[in-house]
Amino acid sequence: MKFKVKIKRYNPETEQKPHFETYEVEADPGDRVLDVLHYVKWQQDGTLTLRRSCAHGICGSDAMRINGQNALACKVLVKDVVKEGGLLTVEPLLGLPLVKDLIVDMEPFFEHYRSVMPFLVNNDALPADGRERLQSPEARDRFDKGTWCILCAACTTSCPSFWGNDQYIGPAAIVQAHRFVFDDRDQGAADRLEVLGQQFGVWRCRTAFNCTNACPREIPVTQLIGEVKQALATGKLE
Amino acid sequence: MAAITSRFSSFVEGVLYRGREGHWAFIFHRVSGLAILLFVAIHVVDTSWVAYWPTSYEHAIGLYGSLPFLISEYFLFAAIVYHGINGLNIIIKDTFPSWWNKHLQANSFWKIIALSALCWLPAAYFVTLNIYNFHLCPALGGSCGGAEPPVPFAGLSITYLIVPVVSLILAAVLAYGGTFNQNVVAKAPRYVSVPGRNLETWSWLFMRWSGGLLLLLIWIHVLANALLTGAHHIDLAYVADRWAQPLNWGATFTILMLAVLHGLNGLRAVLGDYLHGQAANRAVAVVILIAWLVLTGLGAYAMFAGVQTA
Repeated sequence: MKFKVKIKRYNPETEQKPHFETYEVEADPGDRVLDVLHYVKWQQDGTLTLRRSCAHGICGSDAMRINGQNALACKVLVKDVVKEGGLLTVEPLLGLPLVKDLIVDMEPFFEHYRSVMPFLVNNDALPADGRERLQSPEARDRFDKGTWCILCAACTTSCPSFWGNDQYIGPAAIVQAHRFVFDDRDQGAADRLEVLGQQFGVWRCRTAFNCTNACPREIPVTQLIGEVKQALATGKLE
Repeated sequence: MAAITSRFSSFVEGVLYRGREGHWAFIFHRVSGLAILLFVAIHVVDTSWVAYWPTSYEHAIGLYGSLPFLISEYFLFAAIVYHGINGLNIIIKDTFPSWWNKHLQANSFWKIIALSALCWLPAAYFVTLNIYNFHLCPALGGSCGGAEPPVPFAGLSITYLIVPVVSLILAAVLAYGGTFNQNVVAKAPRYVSVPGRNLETWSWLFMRWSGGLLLLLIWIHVLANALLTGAHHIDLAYVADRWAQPLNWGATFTILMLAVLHGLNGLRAVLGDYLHGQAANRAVAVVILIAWLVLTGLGAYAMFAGVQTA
């Protein structure tokens, strides 16, 4: 099928502001948006800059705005976003500094990620066999959904609170905190909740739900944020 | 090479972000909340005149009966029903976080819109009736029935008993809510020492508690005064009569205390989302605190002083 793709371009060496460029492309309905971008870069305009690594929805490198909504370019099929002769719009993520074309600076995002201590904290001595801290399947299941996260930033950059103020810790960091706060082997919950209870913490979530819709891993982000709010309000971790 | 950040363009592009039902619900909630706050501020100030400048009050209430104001009432009541119902949706889902799921959110948005429309229709009927009786009918030269004052809710103040009862049930559900989140099997609840409740935590809790209470109180207040009675039948004597009933006085006073704070705290949250830097946020907090003190002080003093004769 033939259609047009409109891509937001920005060259920091020659431009003050980003602009749009439109390309005529041909693709199979079953192709992914990433294939379309490859087609443009490899056949038409080699200067198009984008980030992608595994190209199979696991590494989380190619999150971008596709037709105005955050998604992974490698997980969206052409037939789901554009018709024959139609127009497909591709823009970089919103709310993070724009580096070039579709590439944004992810550092503010990872700074928030690090602030919730995304690692297991347990100061007890190792179990007698010296191997692993055992956990029941139920207890493992309690935080399972948070472990699906691939840190693509689609959720955080879809959040109105984050667009308004990038000091807001953002959905992804809260999901990561949830993953450890609700892990019964972890002992760092109080420290994480201290960070999440601050002015730019979890209370900035206005439940606009864009994060849940944007997540390519189907994580119920708003739900997990809600559970962290309840934990902060009641001190109880079920 | 320099990366660019534009807060203005992220705001504009954010509005254009193709979010779904949740994003629309969020935007409507903000817009309706700010509209209601504007009205509440005006309403508190002009009603307080019953104690300070009774003549000006009669003039102000006359404006409430004017055609432009009656027309804007359509929008005001739409904002009130939507903000109340959507707020209740937020309160319930925040209490049971597992209800924040894709299926329910898309579904409940349309149910909220439908329910809001359903609740708005009777209000629109009364507004239309007032417009007909006091503007359209006299202009057409007919004999208009609206001049006869209806009995202003005499003997019906018992309805206010519903408020404390339902509020208590709602409060119990909210207070107990945290323990309902049993979406997975857990043997024994674990406890964590949480940081002391700061301003943001209290603010979040307050918005939910006051929102639940206001939903009931304001709807009854609007129904009794704005719709069943109507601005054309409200005068100093009517206010004096209402405030002479302890239940009515108490309900109105509770609304005054909660609504102004709920609205101004909402404004603080909205501005806080877009303001950067401690100084700006602190300045906003101070201005909002002063506005709260002035508005509630003005209203509370008027309610204690009572209606003066013109």
